[in-house]
Amino acid sequence: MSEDTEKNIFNGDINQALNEIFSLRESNVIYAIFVSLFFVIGSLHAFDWNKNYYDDAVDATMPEDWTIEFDIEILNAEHTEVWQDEEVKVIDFFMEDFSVREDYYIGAIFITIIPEVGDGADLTDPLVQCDAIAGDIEVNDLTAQWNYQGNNLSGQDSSCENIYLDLQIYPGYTGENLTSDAPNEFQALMPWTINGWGEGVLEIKVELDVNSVDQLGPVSQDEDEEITILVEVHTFNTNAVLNN
Amino acid sequence: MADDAVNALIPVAAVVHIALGVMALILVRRSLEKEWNERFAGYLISWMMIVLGLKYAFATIIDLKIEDFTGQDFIEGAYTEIYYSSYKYSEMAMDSIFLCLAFTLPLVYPYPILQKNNALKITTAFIIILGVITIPLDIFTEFANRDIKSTINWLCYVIWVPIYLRFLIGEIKYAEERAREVSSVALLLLLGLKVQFMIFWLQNITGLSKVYVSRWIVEDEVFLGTVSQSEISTVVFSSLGMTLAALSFLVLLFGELWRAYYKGINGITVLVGMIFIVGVMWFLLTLVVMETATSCVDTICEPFDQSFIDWFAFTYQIAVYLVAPLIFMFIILNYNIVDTESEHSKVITRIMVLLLLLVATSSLIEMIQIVLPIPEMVTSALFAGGVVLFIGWEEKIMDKMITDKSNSVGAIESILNINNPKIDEMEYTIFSVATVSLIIYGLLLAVLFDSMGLHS
Repeated sequence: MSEDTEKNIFNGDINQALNEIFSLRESNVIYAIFVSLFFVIGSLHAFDWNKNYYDDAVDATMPEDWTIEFDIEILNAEHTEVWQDEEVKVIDFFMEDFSVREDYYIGAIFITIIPEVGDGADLTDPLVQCDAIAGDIEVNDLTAQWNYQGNNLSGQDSSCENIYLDLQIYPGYTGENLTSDAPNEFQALMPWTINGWGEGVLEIKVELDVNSVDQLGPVSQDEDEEITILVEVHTFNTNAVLNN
Repeated sequence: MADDAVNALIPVAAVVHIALGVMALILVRRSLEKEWNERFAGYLISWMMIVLGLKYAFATIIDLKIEDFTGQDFIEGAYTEIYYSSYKYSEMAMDSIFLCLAFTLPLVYPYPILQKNNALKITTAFIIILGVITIPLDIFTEFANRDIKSTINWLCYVIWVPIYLRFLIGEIKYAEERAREVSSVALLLLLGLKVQFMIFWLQNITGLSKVYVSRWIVEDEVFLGTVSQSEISTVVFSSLGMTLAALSFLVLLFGELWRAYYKGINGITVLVGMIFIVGVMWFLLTLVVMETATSCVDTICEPFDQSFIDWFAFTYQIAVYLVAPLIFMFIILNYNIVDTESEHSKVITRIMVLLLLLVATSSLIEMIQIVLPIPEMVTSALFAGGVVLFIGWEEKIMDKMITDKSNSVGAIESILNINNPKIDEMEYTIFSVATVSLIIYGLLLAVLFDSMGLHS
């Protein structure tokens, strides 16, 4: 069929128009490769996206129920010293001296002020009375929850009992397991990975007021007291467990 | 909250697109002597530019409203309120109309698939039907199927890629004299519509772009309080769309390299080469910011580095807001779509060229200033220099554009069979009226849906 004849019967049908576009074998072969690659690579990406990305992305938008478990490690420090009657001393504990493990954070500090055992009473001095001891955690620059209602910053005793003080360092720390709504483990644990709490000096003020019975003579007189301060630093590391 | 660099070009783009569209429309209406598909392509491109301009105008309003938002405002749902307002509905309605118009363009230009007398009637009816369905459907589904919607536009790959290949091979292998006029316009049309996707060609073909899509899902749901894209839209259509854009670019790249080997380098080769380089750089930068990009899914969303945001603004925004209208302007003026010979047309063409080139230059300089710490004095001097150059060379640029014209339809007629249907002048007017009606329909729906509290 001559070209003239072909042009004469060309009436612009869609089939004819497409035949014109696909009239060269070389371009058709390249276009066929293009279409094949499109389906192969496109399907691979769609499969990869569905398998490795989409669910993770959607999960990251939905809060889930997590239990935050606390692994607690206690670090101790002890200081023993003799107080004279009516003497007031402030004992400093430098927080940097506590060897907090990597990835652990300081949650709270518990202090026990221990008076001398038996208060020096013996057979020759049977009436020696328990001394009055007052202990305070001094508010200073130590980074802690100083305004937390549950703190016990002051205590006193005159019955030879230990005095217990405590200070919350990390916000919200109780040492008990907690629940949390978060889209992933990182965000669930995020509130428990903040650095900077528990830095500074812990100052404990102890005041002694000796009780003695003057009527029994100078032998019975008690003018000093050995007091021990035990500091327990509770450090924690957290672990998030997804609840079903 | 909104970054200075991000969306900085939207207001400029809105003005440029509307101005270009209106001027092109005036020119097309006067070009009575052109072939039917050239005229129709001119109408389509003009309306596409106007609709895009309107879309960017609504995006500008939204951008201005969220400019001073704080993080707290986002948490309290201020963004969500705007997202489900008439502004966003209108923006997306214009986007739908643009896709409907862009769907029609490859059917008629440069080689018309529809060549019968009813070609304009069919395409106009198709645009109306598609628009009437797509606009409300998109709003009802809270724009969660954006990638499905954009498949309307895949037709341009399906038709223009084989046309490009056909005429490229025709030129190089079979020495078809005027084949380049067709392959080059097919390439430019593809770039004009898809350059903003093609600059990511390497990360799209390797699948690296998925990390951003994952991030957007989290950002949409968690931070912006909107609906993220549906599973089928992201899993299937997003993946296929990325692959299609990347493969099409590779066809254009290798095609132009092959042609450059025989015919030498030209402007289009340089343009394609630049997109190639930008694509490679985007791939490398994505590798660098991978941890930040995946942070939303793996840990918690971390913001991107400022330099990265500037790079995004510089490449993506220039591509979508400046390069695309420049390409379309070039196609309209250089490929004989409009008549630029008459005195009146010459005036409008001059305004068009100067406006676009000056706006593009000034915007480009501003964007460079965002990326590189160049003092304002230097950029002002550069801009002044640019203005002097354009004024001095204005006539030369114009003459070159008008006299060195290509005529793709004329070239096709010399190579392939083509039917020239009889199209009544009234049909072009009906097409324009239909498009305006569709725009009014979209805006009315947007206002009504908002006032009725569709997504409140």
